[in-house]
Amino acid sequence: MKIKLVETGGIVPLNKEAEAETEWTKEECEHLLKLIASNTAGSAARDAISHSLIVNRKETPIDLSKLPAKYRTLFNQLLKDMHYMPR
Amino acid sequence: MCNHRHSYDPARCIIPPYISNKLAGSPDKKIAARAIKNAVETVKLRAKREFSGGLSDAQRALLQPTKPKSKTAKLNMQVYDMLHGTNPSAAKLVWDNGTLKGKSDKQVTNVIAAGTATWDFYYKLFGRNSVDNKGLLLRHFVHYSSKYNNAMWDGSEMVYGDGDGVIFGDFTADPDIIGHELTHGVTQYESNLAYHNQSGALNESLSDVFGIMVKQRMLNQDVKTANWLIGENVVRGSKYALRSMKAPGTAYVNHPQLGTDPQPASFDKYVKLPDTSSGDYGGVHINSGITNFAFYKAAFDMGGFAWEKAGRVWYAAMTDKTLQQEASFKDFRDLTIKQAGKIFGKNSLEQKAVTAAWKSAKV
Repeated sequence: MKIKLVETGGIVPLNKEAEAETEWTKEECEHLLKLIASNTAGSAARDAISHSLIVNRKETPIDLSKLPAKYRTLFNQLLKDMHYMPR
Repeated sequence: MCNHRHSYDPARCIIPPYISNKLAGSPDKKIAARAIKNAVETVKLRAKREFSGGLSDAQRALLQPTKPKSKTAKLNMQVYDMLHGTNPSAAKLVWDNGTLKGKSDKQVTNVIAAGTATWDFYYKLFGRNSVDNKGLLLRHFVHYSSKYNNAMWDGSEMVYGDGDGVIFGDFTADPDIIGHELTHGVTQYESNLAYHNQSGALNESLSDVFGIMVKQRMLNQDVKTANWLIGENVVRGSKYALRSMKAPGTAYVNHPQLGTDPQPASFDKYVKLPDTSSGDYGGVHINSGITNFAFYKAAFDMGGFAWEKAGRVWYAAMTDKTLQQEASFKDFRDLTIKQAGKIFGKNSLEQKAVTAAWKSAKV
């Protein structure tokens, strides 16, 4: 399963992204997205950076601090591989 | 210098411009610096004279800063070192209201200087005591995470990264960025402009407007000598900055990683983007170029220091109780024109300058 991690926002509105191929099943992916989904509705933060995960063209805002330990290596690699997407 | 705070020294103004220009290009850095400083002061004095000549006594009195509300108000600020972590509760207090509590460095001193200047700006000019006008403790967190490319207001505190050292440098390097983040706090406690589409772009623009004035006041720059760049030291490379208020869309051009600054300068070029994080919530950091440009035009046409006139008008509009959370550019335009009339008089030169500035931005 192909996943894309997207980083957006910040005082400079730049978008970064990185892709990876995973061995996740559909169920595992759905479970993970439920665990790490972020809820920023009503947040007073300004210029904040946020992340989302795109799987099968569906984008889910996520909170990386909620990531279970077993996924950290993969996501750290994705963060390292990120490149800017000029508008 | 020609224009001292308490004196006027005509002897230092006698040097003709062609000699000053020659001195400014002198290989002796001290001579060149002095000549440039003299030239700047001369321009300021001339602009002040030209403008003041056409004012009545009542109008001149209006230029005096608003008196502070309370004589007892004082800065309440702390600086923490995140030690490259992301958990604020693990941060180390390094500066507490004037007392050094830990190891200081460039980031700490930058934040102390610009944080103090921002508090002073709001208090001395507008009588505002901190972001909430009730003396809220201002907490700054430096060295957030590792190579973090951002500065932000998290709803109650300021957070600054060190930058990756490749595309971005230290995010405390520009006072306008620190003033920008603190102004998000002011907006939050005033109109709380919704952070999307036009109201979000206004929110961003107000942070740029007050951030740039904090920097210009720190550097004693008038509207003509200032370069109107936001984050000129944050983006690495001498020809790059984050935003240009004078010429939106030119802060970075053909940057190898960032591309070209997408900010428009006029409403006919408004960029429609989705109201999502990847769409910058409808382009809040992009369309802010339009209202930034309107402020620049108003301030430039009024002359002198930006905070003396245009800044007063924008502050009055920003704190106007009728400013709605979902305000549009047009709503804010109308408020600034109304406030300019209230402060400087109906059909005054200042009100005309504000009206013309919005026309230039096609709002």
